[in-house]
Amino acid sequence: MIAAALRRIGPRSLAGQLALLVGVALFVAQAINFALLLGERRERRATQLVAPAVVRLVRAADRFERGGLARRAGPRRVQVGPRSGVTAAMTRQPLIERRVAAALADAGVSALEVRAAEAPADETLRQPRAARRPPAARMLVLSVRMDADRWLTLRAPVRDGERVLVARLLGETAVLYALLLLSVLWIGRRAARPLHELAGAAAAFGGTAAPGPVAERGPADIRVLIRAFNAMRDRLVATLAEKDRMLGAIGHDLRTPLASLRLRAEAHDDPAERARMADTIAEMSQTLDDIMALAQVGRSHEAAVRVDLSALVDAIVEDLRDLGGDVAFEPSPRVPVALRPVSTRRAIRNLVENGLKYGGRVVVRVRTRGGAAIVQIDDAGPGLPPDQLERVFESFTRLEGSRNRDTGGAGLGLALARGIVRDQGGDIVLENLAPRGLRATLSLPAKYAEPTGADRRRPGRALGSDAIGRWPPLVP
Amino acid sequence: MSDARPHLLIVDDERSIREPLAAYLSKEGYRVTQAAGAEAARAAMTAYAIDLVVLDIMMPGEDGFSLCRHIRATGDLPVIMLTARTDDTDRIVGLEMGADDYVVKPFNPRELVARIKAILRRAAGGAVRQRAPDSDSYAFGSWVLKAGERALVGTDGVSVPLSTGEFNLLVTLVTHPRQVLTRDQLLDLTQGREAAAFDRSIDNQVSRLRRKIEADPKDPQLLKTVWGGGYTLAAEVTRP
Repeated sequence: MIAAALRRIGPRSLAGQLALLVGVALFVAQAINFALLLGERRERRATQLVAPAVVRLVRAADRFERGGLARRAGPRRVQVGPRSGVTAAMTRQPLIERRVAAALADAGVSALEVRAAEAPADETLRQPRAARRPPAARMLVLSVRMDADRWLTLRAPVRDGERVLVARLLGETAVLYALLLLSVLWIGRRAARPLHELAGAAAAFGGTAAPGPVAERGPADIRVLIRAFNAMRDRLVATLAEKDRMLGAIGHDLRTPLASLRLRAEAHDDPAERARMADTIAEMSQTLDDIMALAQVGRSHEAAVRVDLSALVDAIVEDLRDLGGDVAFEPSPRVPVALRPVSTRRAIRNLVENGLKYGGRVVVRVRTRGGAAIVQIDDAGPGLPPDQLERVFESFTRLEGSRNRDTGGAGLGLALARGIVRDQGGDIVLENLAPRGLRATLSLPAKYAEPTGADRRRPGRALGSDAIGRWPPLVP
Repeated sequence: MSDARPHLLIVDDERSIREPLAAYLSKEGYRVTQAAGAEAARAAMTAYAIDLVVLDIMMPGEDGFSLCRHIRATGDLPVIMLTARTDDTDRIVGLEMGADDYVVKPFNPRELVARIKAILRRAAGGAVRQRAPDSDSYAFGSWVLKAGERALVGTDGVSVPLSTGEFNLLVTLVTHPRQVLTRDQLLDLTQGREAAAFDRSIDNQVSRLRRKIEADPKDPQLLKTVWGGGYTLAAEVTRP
């Protein structure tokens, strides 16, 4: 229950929770300690106050009974009056009343009633003349009814010991808190730091051996955890390396017979048939490529470099135009982005080829939006049913219905493109355009999207077939 | 009997590749010798005057890399590598071993023939053997052409990717700096490397390149037009 409450309202970190728990426990312990101390202190104080007061009262009562106690005004220790010195405004002290009554009875003084109260000191109190002590701020008023209309009233100064006690206890508690919480926080951090490193390593684990084993440090149980994690990491790296090796072997073993087939196809007499065979073989080879590339997504060995995304898209479009594709690149500003050039080229090319395959005609542009660099690939095809816009990204998904084998593809191109882009912190989404057409929007975090000072030194020209002389917006 | 046909040596342990490839190349007018392994290949190279070797990388025993290194150590015999891998490792290692070109299986045999022709023509022309540029960098003006990445890198470190056509043209230019190259020469020199991607006119590629590399494309300082001649790269090219 406490744990649940802590989870809901308390600090989330290990050190924070430890500190909070220790703090609460300490507080409860100190509160109990304080209550006990206070009770004991009160007891002692009552005794301290009552004893001298009773002695005085007994003496005064003696004199009173012998008729020697006159009604005199002025601040005296004990006064005689028709009314009790304890007024209704004062706080009665039942504990002291009982003690005094008992003590008077023991001393053989017969009192009808005893009243005791504490009140702020006033002029009726005779302050002791001791130097170097400030006058007491409070007084104890003790009133004893001797007969029907006479009260003996004694006023004694009260030194305020409780405040001193409270202040001392608070001081002690503060010191205790400081020492304890600091050490708890230190221990908590010591335990939490390797845990943070572990979490970071686990999150950064992309499958490549690049993030090395986590250094074993911290308390022993955490070292055990780190050791276990490192062992798991090693096994994973080994498994993934084995997968790579296997895929490489599969690729080689399939490519060789494909190459053989391709050579034999060339010996076929019918040119149309020869071309069809070549196409099929090329398609198989492409699928093989895609499978192997898809298996590598997330474990890329390719380093990110700063690339002008517009120039990259322009180059892809140009290559596809050379191959006869009806694709145009709209004038776009220069957008330097940190990306993996080879795989990103492949992702964008897949998207454009997809557009050409289904849409016939494609227009591509590069923009920046917020902190992202955007590549928009619009085709002029029929678009997709809304429920298929996400499904087409699944590996080996082929759209049902009207799309046949010829146009369906192996369903790897989009999965691969999205894998490549997501691996770099971006995404690809599809949307239908009105009245027709499909738009693929590829976004990449544009860590370098805005031209920096260095970028501005070289005039950044807009690229595109008719874009000579257009300049990107300059950042003020 | 002396034979005027170029003599090719095909080295591949896979009979299913070697034999149909040999048949195809013979039909294309080459004299072809086959070798199933490095040992047989060495023997064939001693026995005949081979003009070009088509070499498979993955072979049991001594592999293609090792044989290529041997060929490079003993002479200037051109080598085209066959690789089954699409990732760049084989390609880069192969080119560092001194191969002149490479094709990825399954390859279009016509493309292989185009590359064989281009290499043999260059060799016959007595030209200095031009290594495949893919693992090299060339610095000119304020740019560095990174052949492996098919991109230009500017002084700000931002790389500008090139299309295949632009790249082929620029590689030709940086490997012939301060030489006037006619359109025919440019077409000839850029052919053989994905020729299909280069059927657009040289002029078009030149103007695209200028937009990318010139401070003012209308007043080019790097890629200059030579009246009545062709184009020239008016800059020193260094190999960083």
